Amino acid sequence: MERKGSVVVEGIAAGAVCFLNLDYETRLQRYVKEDAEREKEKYEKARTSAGEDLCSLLQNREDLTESEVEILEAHQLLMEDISFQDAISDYMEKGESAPEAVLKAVSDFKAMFDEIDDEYLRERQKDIIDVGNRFLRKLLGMKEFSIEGENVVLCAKDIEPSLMASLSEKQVKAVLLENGSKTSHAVIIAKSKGFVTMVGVSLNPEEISEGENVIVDANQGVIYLNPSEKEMENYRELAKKQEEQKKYLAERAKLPARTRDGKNVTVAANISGEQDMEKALSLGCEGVGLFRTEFLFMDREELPGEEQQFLAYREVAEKAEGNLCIIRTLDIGGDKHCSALGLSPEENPFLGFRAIRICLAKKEMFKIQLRAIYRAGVYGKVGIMIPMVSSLSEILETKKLAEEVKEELLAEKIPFAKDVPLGIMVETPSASIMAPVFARHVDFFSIGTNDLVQYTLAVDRGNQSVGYLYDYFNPAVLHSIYRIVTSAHEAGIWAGMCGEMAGDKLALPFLLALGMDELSMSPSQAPGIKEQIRNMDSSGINLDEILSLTDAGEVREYLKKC
Amino acid sequence: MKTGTYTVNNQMGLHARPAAEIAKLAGKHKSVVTLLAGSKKANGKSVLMLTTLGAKKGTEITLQVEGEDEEEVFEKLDDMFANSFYEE
Repeated sequence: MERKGSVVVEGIAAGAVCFLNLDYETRLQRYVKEDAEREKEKYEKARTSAGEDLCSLLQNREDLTESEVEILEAHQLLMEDISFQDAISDYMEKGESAPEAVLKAVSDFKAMFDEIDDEYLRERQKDIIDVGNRFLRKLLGMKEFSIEGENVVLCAKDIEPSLMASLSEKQVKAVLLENGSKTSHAVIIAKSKGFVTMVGVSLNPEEISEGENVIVDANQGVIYLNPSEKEMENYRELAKKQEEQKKYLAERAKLPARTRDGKNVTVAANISGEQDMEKALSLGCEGVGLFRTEFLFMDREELPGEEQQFLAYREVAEKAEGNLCIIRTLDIGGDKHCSALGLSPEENPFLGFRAIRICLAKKEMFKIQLRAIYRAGVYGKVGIMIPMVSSLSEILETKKLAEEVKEELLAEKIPFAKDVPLGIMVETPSASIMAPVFARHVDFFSIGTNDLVQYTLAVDRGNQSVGYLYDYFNPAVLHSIYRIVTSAHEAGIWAGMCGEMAGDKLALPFLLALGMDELSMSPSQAPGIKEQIRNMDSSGINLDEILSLTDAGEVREYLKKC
Repeated sequence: MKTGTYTVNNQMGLHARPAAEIAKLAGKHKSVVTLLAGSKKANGKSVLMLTTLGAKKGTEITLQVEGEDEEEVFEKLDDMFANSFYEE
């Protein structure tokens, strides 16, 4: 039996299905409460067993990143915490069931954390919620998410980002999600972990049960349920080859990306926070071409303060080993919501109040972010990138604010970096048309292909019925990119790209022929792209010929032969 | 009872690591350890309560240690506070 889905991370995996089902609600309703003594016993048992889980996770320390170890150790302490234990016992003595007692204690502490007037400390409430959930899963007889075996295909409705982050690359080979868009936070983590990933896939237990075999061919976007042993064998072989190739590339990841004819390209990482840095560096990324700061602003009731932002940017800058880190200022609106800003819904969000438009309307908020970036610049090389620029005034106004911020920091005697390059994301048709002018006012351009394609071709990338038109190989897009890069070079600034196209091997000949200075992508794509750059001779690519093509299909055919 | 007053000097305040160190030390001894910040009060043996003090950089903290081993416990905690928990 075959199923289709939409591919997020390409690749092949053959393994056993493992369903992840986190339905606390139903199980809580079914829970049978006994007398206080029994509840206490059940709770103690749950606590011991949850503690053992943590111990065994920590025993395989070499599989964990530094921050994962830190989180698990914090959880260990909380499990033993005397105040937390007392609160739970009190509730049980008052006649609550063990799971209810845990929930109430967690919610009491959460309320206390909510009162803290420091963002960073307040955030720590996540740990208590996580520990509470660990107890609950034990009490409700839910399998702790320990994955068995080495070739697991994880199947779920949705996955919390923190859970996705905790999955081991050694065990999980593929992730199939029912919900989740290609750009959701959990999916971005899956991408950075390198799991073969597809979304829009729902498998129900009637079709396939836990532990049965499945093949995920995310090169073709197909899933095969209960394949024959022979098919499994074939795909295992393919997956093995793929893994070997990946390993080979990873070993060579740190070699520079220089074409045969001696052109150097900086291959940088798109990241969402400090947690992505370890991976980015190990996969050979030279700095950060796009740090999406919106994750600091989303899913929360209040805007992040200067200190919190400063620490987040500083950590990334410090970890970048002296390479440039481009921090994109808040890019919210469009498909990214931010409850802390209280924005009203719009008819046309992609043409509405978003990104730099919001920042310039909320100058105080914008200045806090700029201050945090300038301060972080003391600890590493950072750059500022403004998204969604469509007119020169937006650049000039931002530069004025940046000057103000620097003067204020100077007056307050707070250390900051004076020479922080300021560039723009070129992603609107107007920015592309005006590129020769804009280039004289900024330090760099980075092309955001996802929006550039959508605005240039007037295609909503989320709309299935017109999705076929969304194509960065459309000659209109290629000409636009050509204009942007040449304008940058004529003005003596560098040009990079941080959209999906930057990580597409097929687009490479075109991008190299243009003389693109930097390509920024999801870290897992970097080793492959760097290897391809090393194998290429850009002098043999005829840019004029590519630009003379009139149809996306022709462009593809042409590029395949390069 | 031994008491002392300190100002939190750590960049991130009394965050996870310092709180854990206090709780670990206090937990190993018999004395009752209490930390006060403004109107809030925390049992020094509980990381959780220490964190809910919300003591960021610049917060004034009062430390109270009472019990048979108070001398030893106070001396160690005093050293930790005075040296900003040996961070930076």
